Amino acid sequence: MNKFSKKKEILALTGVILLLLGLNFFQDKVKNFFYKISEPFQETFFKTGKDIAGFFETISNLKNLEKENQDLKIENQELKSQIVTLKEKELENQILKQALDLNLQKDFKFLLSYVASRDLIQESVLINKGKLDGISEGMAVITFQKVLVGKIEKAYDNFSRVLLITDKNSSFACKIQSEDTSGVIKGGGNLEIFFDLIPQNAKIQTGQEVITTNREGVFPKGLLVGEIESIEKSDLQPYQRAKIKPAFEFKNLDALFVILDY
Amino acid sequence: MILFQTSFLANFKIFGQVPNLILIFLFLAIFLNLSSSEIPWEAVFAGFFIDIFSSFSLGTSVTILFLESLFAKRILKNFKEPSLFILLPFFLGFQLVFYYSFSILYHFIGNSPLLRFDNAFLFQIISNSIFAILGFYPLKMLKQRFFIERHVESF
Repeated sequence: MNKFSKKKEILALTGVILLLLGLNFFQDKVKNFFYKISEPFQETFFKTGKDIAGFFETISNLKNLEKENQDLKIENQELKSQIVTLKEKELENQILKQALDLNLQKDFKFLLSYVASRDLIQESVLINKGKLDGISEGMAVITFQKVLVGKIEKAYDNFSRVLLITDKNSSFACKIQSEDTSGVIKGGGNLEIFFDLIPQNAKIQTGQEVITTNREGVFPKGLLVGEIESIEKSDLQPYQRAKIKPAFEFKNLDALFVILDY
Repeated sequence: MILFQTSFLANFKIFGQVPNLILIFLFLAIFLNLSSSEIPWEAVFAGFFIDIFSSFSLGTSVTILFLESLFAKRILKNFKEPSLFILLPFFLGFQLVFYYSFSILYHFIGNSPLLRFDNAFLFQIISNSIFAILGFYPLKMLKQRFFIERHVESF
């Protein structure tokens, strides 16, 4: 390569470096622009991929379908009887609250959004709502079944990045449903989460559900995180630790709700 | 390619990972010397789009990939004919530098935990390597065909 073309290249490279440095001041706008133009393509790619993945999963699960169907029927019957009991208690609760003149907790104020893309390296997703829709950093993100998915890490004009609870940088207080046993949920990466700092004398078992508390004001209380999959207990450690199966499935994340107010 | 990776391939995650197509293609472009320029422009473009579709600041991936590619180009000048036996260890080193650079950077800036060499990371490295091998021969053939056609034209 002759000296002249080498000089031209170095000049071009300097130009690119300066452009990138300049673009950093408008980073949010630049990213927002690219997300906007790529959104239709990502939606198409994702839906196609989901259909194909679903097809292969169905084939591999065929032999388990019958057993799963039986188990689900039994679980359905149990849940139906629980609903009846809970409805009676709800009625009783309403009467008691009226009697004591308590203020009812106000419902969440939601904003519906859809997943636009997944992050390349971090455990996060991009949703199609941003600052212009009233979203700001730190807001909780859930599914329509009130399952906790994560929180808004970064809000652009029309899009927002949601840091999943499985990310290594994610941690928040939680407890076992219907019990006083509390601890800390920590993201383990690779779509895993762990329930840590559980007192040694706490009696926990697999299948128990873990929900959020509002101790640090990070997430509203009562959101479902997941269920205990396995327990790590050692007399040499001051605390117990459990692996949690997240209540959401990463590949099924589509419609998400951002909690604007609670 | 990046849209395909973040949307289509996201449905096929194993251990939470998918092959990093951008990194694979960039490496093959450097390895097969698809561009005659001394400056790895392909690293600038690849890094730019990685930064756009991740939570990193603009320029982070560009810088890391640019320096890595520059270094790789210098070393690869010593090899006349790129072969699979050179590709695998070279790509392994390329990947480790790429992933650990981010891990170390964000460990010191954001107090993020350092990257662990666990099953998921191992799967990422292996799947990237498999796709690199699959892409190596077609790209090499394409390059040779393009090289021959250009030679014929100039003749």
